[in-house]
Amino acid sequence: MEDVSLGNYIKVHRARKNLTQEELAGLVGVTRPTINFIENGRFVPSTLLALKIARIFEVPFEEVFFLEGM
Amino acid sequence: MSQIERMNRFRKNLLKGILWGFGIWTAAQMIWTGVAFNGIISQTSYVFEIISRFIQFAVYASILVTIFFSLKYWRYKWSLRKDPQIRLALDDERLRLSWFKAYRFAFFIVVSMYIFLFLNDWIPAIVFHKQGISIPQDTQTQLTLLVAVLSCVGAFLHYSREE
Repeated sequence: MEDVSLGNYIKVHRARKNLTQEELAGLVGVTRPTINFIENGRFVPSTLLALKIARIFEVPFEEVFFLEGM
Repeated sequence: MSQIERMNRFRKNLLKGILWGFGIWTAAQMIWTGVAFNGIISQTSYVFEIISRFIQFAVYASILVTIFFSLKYWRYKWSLRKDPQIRLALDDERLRLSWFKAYRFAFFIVVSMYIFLFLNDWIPAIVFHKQGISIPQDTQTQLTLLVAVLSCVGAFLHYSREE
């Protein structure tokens, strides 16, 4: 199987919504470093957290997260 | 700075305090017990007396540091009971994963340490026909505690460190 990872456009959507990492973290109920880890691809969030993030940005899940390396 | 962020930093600093306090306390006590037990410095000498006092002071100081940070950590945990939302945020899935990885790391380190202690007992006796490094039973218990706490807390701080 190919080596795939979860990519994301959180940074882009954050900029669009004018949100800081800390504000986004507060809105989805996690710590700021967790958002930083997800943004940099160092941590793969659970489905629940990924959906919460997409909901904050008011876009479908696939517009925030995508499969890298496929 | 939000309350979650403030509490997160506070916890990190507390864990660092516990790491250093406990590390210095146990390491100093253990090394000195080892020195005395193996007769590296004569127990009747003046040097032994001076170093003993210095080690005693270091141990008491680090015990106080450990107690201080442990109490603060306990107070911090207690304060979180009032606010379940912040408590949940401070125990998010990444941090739970970091703790899990830290426990796993500490487990393997403790097992490796016991393998080393076992080999230290047997290899010198079988191969060189002499005794290995002499470690008193009390010190072995302290060593286990030291290695377990330091590797667990240290690994957690490492895994949750930002680049």
